[in-house]
Amino acid sequence: MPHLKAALSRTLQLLLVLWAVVTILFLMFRLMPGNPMAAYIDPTFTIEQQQALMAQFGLDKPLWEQYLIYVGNLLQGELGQSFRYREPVADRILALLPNTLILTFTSLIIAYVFGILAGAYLAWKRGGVVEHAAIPLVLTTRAMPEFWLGMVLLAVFSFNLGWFPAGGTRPAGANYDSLWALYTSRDFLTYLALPALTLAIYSQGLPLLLMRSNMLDVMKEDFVTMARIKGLSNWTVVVRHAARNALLPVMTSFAIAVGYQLQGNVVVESVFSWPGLGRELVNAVSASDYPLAQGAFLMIAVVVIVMNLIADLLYAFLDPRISHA
Amino acid sequence: MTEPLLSVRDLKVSYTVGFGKIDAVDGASFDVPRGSIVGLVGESGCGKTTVAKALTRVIADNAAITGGRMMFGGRDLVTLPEREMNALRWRDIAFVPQSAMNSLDPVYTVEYQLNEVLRRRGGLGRRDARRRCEELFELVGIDRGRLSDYPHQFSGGMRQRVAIALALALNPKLVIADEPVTALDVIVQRQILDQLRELQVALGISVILVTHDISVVAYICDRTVVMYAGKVVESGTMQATLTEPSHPYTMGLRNAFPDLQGAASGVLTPIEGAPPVGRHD
Repeated sequence: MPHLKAALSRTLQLLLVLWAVVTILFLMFRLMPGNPMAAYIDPTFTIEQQQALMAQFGLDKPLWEQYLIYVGNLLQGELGQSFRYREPVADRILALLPNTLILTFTSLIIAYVFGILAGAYLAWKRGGVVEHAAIPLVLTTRAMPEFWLGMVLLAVFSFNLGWFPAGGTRPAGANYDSLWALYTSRDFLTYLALPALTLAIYSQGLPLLLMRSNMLDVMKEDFVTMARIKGLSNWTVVVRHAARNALLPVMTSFAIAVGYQLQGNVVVESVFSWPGLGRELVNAVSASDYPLAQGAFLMIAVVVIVMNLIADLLYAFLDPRISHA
Repeated sequence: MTEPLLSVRDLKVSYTVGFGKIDAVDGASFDVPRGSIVGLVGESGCGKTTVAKALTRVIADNAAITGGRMMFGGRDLVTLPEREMNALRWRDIAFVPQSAMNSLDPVYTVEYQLNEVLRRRGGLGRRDARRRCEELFELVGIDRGRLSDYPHQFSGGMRQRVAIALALALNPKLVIADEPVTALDVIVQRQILDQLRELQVALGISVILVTHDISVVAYICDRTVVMYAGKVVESGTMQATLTEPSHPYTMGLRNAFPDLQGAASGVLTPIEGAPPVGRHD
């Protein structure tokens, strides 16, 4: 089982990366200027009270001991207590993560389906008028800052036309029996539309250009010429042979894009007041809510690492030259 | 003498390059008799591969057939409507490419690629296609268990056999083999050539063998067509062209190859320079 072994060693590598991320996160927040307790401790507290609090959080212990406690807690799924919300960080993050993942995957799936189809089409119709108009347009969408695009869409579709709500995930005062009921409601879709569209417009350029240039390369391959000499239909040649081969790197880039998108979400979530991990991260940093920021960073890192693993496995699955080596 | 299977007359193919044109094939004429192997020889850039591709009418985007006739079964392939031409492809005229590595799609099994031709072009059902796949692999001497393997799992010689099996799938009348053994070592070359000869005789097909290797021509061809600078300079039976060449280029070509019997001097006579290019702006 050579590829089971490869997958296993890949997973081990990723655990190592995860450990490095945890360590860096731990040190980063210890090196930041300012007293982490500043938000927690009232200036009217006496020195003794402050020290008692420090001891309660374990901040009076030496760094290495704090580190061991931190890692030990992480292994039990304990991310600490948020300074601001006075509730466990893990609960807070788990409540926000679905919102972020839904936004990310919705926008990326739209972006990739559109990008792959349009990229393949542009490669097929190389040199036409469509191509001369489309390429600069795609480059423009790549150059537009996401927050600016988000604000333009808000101005047009929300404030002027009033088709979509301006932010959040649900109408004011609306209550749902469960998260599932919320995510499957029609209201939720109207709230999701604008932020997802913003991210989709921003993200479609990469798969589109990647697909197009891959297709152009593959179309020059001998097996595509041979498919034509075999008298196969144009559709078979372009879709089954050229596009199928050009798709391999694009599919891998999807998994990696999920990681990038989580970072991009920080901005878009803020613009649309989307209660996701990115917006929470910004708030946590500006409020010096270190445990929450640390937890959010860690969560994003975990998603990026997992998606990278999926990218590797996906490639092996899609390319017989790797899976049948 | 019966009518030849293929009769090419005054074929012209040109490439558009920049603002000018290059006549890669400039008035080529030759015949392919039924049940024979015709060697199309010449050095790199003489237009032999362009002729081979032109016969399928799958040519580069910047290339065009600008004149001449290619009579095949009473029809002129130059003027045949694309629909009818496409119906002929692979069913009547099949192709064995130079590098079987790049000519097989890496993401599909060999069986898938055989099936594609058998079912989409040959109209065979699933069962018949499976049977034909096994038959074809037996024909070219590969274990049928390897049908489900991917191209990269075969060796170079095996892959060339797969390419031959693929070409024979629909019982074509003419197989065009473009440098089919160039990328292989001489022992495998010989096996492949022997097999090609056997199959050609057994199935009664005609083969156009494009090569720059005179020894390959001497080994298996019945007839020889010598090309130089886009023109056919000499054609005839293999024996006649190689033993009593009439054109100075053919003489030069023959002298440039080692002679097993009499090369005591050990000195070969290369042909100086490169062929001219028919360019006009």
